[in-house]
Amino acid sequence: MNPLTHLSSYVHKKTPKLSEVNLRFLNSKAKTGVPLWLLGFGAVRLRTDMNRLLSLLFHQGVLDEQFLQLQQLQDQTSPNFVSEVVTIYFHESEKQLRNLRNILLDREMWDYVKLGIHLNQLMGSSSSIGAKRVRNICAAFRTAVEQNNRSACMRALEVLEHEYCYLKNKLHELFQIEQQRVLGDAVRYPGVVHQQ
Amino acid sequence: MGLKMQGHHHLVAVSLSDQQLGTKRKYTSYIPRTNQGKYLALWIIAFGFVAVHVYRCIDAGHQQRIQEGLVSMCDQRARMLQDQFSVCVNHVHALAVLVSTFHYYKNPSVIDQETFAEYTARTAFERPLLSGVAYAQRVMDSQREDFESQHGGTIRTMANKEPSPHRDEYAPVIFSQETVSYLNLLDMMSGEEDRENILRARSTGKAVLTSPFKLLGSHHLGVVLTIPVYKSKLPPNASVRDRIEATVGYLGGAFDVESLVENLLGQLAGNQEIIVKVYDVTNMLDPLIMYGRQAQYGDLTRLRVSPLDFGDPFRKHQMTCRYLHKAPISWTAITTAFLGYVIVFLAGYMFYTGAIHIVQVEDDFDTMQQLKVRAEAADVTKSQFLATVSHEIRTPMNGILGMLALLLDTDLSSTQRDYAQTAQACGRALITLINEVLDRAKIEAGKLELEAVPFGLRSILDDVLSLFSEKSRNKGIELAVFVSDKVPQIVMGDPGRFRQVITNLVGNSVKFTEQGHIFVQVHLAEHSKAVQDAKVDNCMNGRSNSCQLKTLSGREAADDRNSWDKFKHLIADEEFPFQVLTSDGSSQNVKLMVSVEDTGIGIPLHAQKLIFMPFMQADSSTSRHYGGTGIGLSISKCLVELMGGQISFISRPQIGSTFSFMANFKRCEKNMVSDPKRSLYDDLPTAFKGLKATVVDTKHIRAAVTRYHLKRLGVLVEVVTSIRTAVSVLGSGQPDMILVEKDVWLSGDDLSSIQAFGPVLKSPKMILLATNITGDEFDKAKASGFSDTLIMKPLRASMVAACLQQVFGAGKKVEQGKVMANGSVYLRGLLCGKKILVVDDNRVNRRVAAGALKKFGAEVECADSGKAALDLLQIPHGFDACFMDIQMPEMDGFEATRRIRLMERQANEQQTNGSIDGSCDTPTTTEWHLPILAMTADVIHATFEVCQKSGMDGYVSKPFQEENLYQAVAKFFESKPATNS
Repeated sequence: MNPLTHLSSYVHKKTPKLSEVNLRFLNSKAKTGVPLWLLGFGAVRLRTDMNRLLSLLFHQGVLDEQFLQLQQLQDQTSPNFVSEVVTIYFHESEKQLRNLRNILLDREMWDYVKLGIHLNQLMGSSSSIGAKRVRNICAAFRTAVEQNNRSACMRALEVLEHEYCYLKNKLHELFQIEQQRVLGDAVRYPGVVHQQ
Repeated sequence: MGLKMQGHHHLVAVSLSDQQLGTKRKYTSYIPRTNQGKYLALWIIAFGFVAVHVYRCIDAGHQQRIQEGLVSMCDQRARMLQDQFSVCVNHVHALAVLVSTFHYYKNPSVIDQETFAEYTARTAFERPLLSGVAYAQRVMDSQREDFESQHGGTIRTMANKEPSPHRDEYAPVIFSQETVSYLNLLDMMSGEEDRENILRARSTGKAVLTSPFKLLGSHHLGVVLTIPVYKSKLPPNASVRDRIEATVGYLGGAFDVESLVENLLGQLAGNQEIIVKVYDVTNMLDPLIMYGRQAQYGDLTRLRVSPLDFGDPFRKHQMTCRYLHKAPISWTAITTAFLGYVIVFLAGYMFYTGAIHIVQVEDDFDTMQQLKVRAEAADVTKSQFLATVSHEIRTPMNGILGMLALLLDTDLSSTQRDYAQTAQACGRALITLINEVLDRAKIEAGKLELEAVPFGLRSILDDVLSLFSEKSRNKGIELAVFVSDKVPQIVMGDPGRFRQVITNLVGNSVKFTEQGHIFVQVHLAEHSKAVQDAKVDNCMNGRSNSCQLKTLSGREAADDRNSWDKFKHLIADEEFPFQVLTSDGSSQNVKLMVSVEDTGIGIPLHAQKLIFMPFMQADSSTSRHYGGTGIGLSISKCLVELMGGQISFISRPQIGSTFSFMANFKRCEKNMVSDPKRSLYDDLPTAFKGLKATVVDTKHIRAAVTRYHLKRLGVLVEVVTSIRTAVSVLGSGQPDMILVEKDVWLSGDDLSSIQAFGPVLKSPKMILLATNITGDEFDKAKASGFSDTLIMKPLRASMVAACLQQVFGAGKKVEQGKVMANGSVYLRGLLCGKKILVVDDNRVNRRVAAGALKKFGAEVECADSGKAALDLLQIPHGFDACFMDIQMPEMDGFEATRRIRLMERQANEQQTNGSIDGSCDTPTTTEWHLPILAMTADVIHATFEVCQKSGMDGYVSKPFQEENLYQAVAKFFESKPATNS
C-alpha cells in the first residue's frame, strides 16, 4: 500500500469559497465610492463570514480546536496575538519547506536526520497553531522518510506544499475579513478611528 | 483520520516483516533440506547390495558345510568299503594259504571238494563281499588227460561250458564254494578277464583284481579276485619266472561290488542323501563304472572323489559321491539378509520421514518466528497506534469539551443548557474511558511499573475526598475518611496509583450512592485482622438490631464488621499503645487494609462474580443509568495486585457495598526523605496545637472521624453525645471550640445554655458541622449562635485548619475550599506575577506557550535552546518555573534539566557550606530548586517517571491546554501562595 494514497483525499476538490460572494458584495462600491465595509455596514455579516470560514476549515479538518485556543489567548493585552503567531508560523514554515525541498532535491545526499528534524519542527509548530492537516501530512511524510521512500517523500512534499498554500490562503482570507471587521468596528466609533 | 491511521499501521507492520523475511536462517541444519527421496533411494540400493553380500557370506559358509558333509560322508564310505574289501582279500589270502598247506604240502591231499565247500561255507561270514570262492588248479596241457580222468570230467570253457579246446595250460576249478559250484571244472583261463588276472596274479604273487565285468550267473557287475597258490614257499625276492614255475593253482573270488556297496551303504546313515559311484580308473581316460548308474543325475554341482585302494597296485579305483538332491537353499542366510535389509530399509524410511518431519518443523519454526516477529511488530504498532489514537481522540475531545464549556458560558435556554451539559458529561466520560483503556493496555503490556517514593497517605486521601466533595455534598451523602494512628505518616509506594485506586472506589461509591454515607478507612492489615477475628462473634450477635445506628450515617452497611462495635476496638487499641502488635515496629513492610464502605444500591448477587472483569457492569441498565464503563474496577484490581495485595468486596443489594483491599508499602525512614521541597507531610498549620475541642455527636464513628481530623491538627478532642452534656462539661474543661453536628443541633438541643455561659467565661467558638445546608437552615444556625463558622463536610484536615484559622483569625486567609471551583481563575491567581522561562526550539510553539502563560498573568521569557536556557538560569536567577521542550536539537530537555539540577546542587552546597555573605539578599532557608515542567506532544512516552528521572517535576502536554496546565502548575504553586500578588 502506498503511504500517500490516502493523502490524495487531502487534495481539495474545488471548495466553494463561501465568503467570496460576500466579499464581492462588500467590496462593491456604494454610491459614495467607498467600499461598503468601510462604512461600517455588514459588520455582522463579516462576523458571520468569519465564523463560516472557520467552521468550513474545521469541517475540512484544515484547522482544529488548537486554533480556537489560540484565539482565546488573544485579548486586550495582545490584540494581534493570532496573526502574530501565524505570521511567525508562515515565516518559519516557508523556511522549513524550502529546506525540505532542498534536501529532497539533493540527489547525492539523503540526509533523513535533517529531514526528520525539519519535519518535527514543522509538525510542532503546525500542531501549535492547530493546522491539523499540515500536521497529519507531516506525519505521513515522516513515515515515508522512515521508510526511505524517496518518491513517496517527493509526493508528500508536494501534497504538503499544496496543503500549506491552501492553509495560507485561507488564513489570509480569514485575517482579511477580521481586519475588515476591526476596521468596520472602528468606523462605528469615530474616536477610535481617530486614534488609529 | 481513522483510515489514515490504519494505513499507517499496516505499513509499519509490513515493513518490519519484510525486513525479517529478508534475513537468513540463523541456525545450521544437519538435515538435507531437499531431495530426501533420492537419499532414501540411494540408501535402499546401497543396503540392497550389502544385504546380497551378507547373504553370499552366510551362504558360502553354508555351502562349505554341505561340501564338508559330502567329503566326510564320501571318505567314510570309501574307507569302509576299502576296509571291508581288504578284510575279504585277506581272508581269501588265508584260503590260499589253506589250500597250499593242505592240498599240496600234505600228501596225500587232505582237502577235497567237500571239505573245501564246507569250510568255505562255514567261513563265508568272513567274506561278506565275496559271492563265492573257488580254487582252480594249474593244469598244463600235458597233464590234461590225467587230470580229467582223476576228476572224472572234462575241462570246460567258461563261455559255453563245453569241453575246452586244447591250450597250453588250463585252470579248471577243482574246489568251489557251494554258491559257485557251477564253476566246477570250468577253465578259468578261458575267460578273458580271468586269464589276464591269473597271469598277473602268478607273476606278482599278490592278489589282483579284474576290471569290472558282468559276473557269471548274476547280472551284477563284479570283479574277480585272484590269488596264486604256489607249491613251495617262495623267497621274497623270487623272480617272475620262479613264481610262474611255482604256481600250482589259483584261488579266486568274485566280488559282487554292486550288492557289496549297496549293502555297505545301507548300514550308513544318510544313505538316501548321496549318490555313490565306484569307478575303476586303471585307464584314466576310460573309467569303468563298478557301482552306480552311468547316467548323471543328482546334484551335479558337488562332487567328491575319494581314492580306493583295494590292495591291487595295478588297478586304481575311486569313489565319487554326489548329493541326491540339490543343496537346499540356505533359509537362514536368506532370512537373515532379508530381515536385516527390512530393518535397514525401515530405518532408512524412518530417517526419511524424520528428515521430512524435521525440515517441516524447521520450516514451521521459521514461519513461526516470522509470525512472532510480525506479531511483535504488530504489538509495537498497536501501542503506537494506541498512543497516537488516544492523542488524536484526546485532542479533539478537549476541543469539544472546551467548546462546550464556552457554549455553557453563553446565554442558553434551559433545554439547550441541558443538552450542552449532557454533551459535556459524555465527553468527560469518554476522556476518562480513553485514559482508562490506555491504563489497562499499559498494565496488560506489563509496562506499568509502580514507583516507590515516599508519600503521605493522609493527604492523598484528603485530596481524593476533596475531588468528590462537591458531588457528595449535592447528593447529601456523608463522605468521611479515617486513617488509623498506627499507619505511618509516610510510606513508600506509588502515590499516583494508590490515589487512582482510591479515586476509583470512592468514585464508584459516590456514583451508586444516593443517601447515607461513604466511609474510607485505612488500618494496618494485621491489626485490623486481629481485631476482626476477635470480635467476629460479637458482630454476629449484634447484627440483627443494634447495627442500625452504629455506622457512619446510621444506615445499614453491607459489611457489619465496619460498624462501631469493631471500630471501637480499633480505636481502643490505639489508645493503649502498649498493646501494639509485635511486628509493627520491626518489619520494613507496612501492609495496609483500606476499605471503602457505602450505602448505595449494592451489587446484584448474580453480578458479583463478574465485577472485576473489564467492561462489566452489574447490568446494562446500570451503565444507562449511572454511566461509566466498568473498566475502573478491573484496573483497580490490577493495580492492587501490583501493590502486592488483593481486593475484595462484600455487597448486599439495596444496602450497600464495602470494597476493601490490602496493599503493601514500605516503611519510610525519616532520613530517606531526600527531597525536602516535596510536601510529604501534611502541610498542616501547627497553630492549633494544644487547643481543646468538644465534639457533640450522637454517632460514634462520625465523632471518631471528626476527632481524627482535629487530632491531626493537634487539637485535643472530647466527644459528648449532646449539647447538654457539653455544657455540663464546660465548667471544668473550658474547651476552645465546640463542634456540633447539624443533625444533633436540629434534633432539638438549643444553644441557649451555652450562650448563657457566654458572659461568664470567654465563650468557646461554636462551629457547625454539616454535609449540606439550605439557606434557611444557615440563617437559622446563624441566628441560634453558630455565628462563628460552618464547616462543610467532607472534613479534611487542611480545610478544617482553614476554617479554624478563619475562626480564630490566625494566619492568612486561605480559601482552600474554593480552590477547585474555577480552574482558570485559580490558574491566573497561581501564575500571576510569576516569572516563567519557556524553552523551545520551535518559534511558533514558543510564542504560543508564552501567549498562553501571559494570559494567566505570568511574566514570560523565552529561550530557543537548552544552552540558552542554561545561560539564563545561571544562579542566581529570578525564575519561578521553567517549561522545557523535550525534543530539541543539540541539547534536549532532559539533558538541559540534568544540567540545571547539577548547577542547583552545586549552588546549594555552596550555600550550606559556608555562606554568611551569600544569604543576605536571598532567604537563607530556601534551596535552589526550580520547578521544571516538560512539554511534550507524546502522551504515552512522557510518563512522569521518565521526566522525574532527569529531575523534572512534571509535564504538560503540547499544545497547551488550560486544564492540563492547571493540573501541572497547581502542584507547585498551591503550597506557596503567590508572593507578588
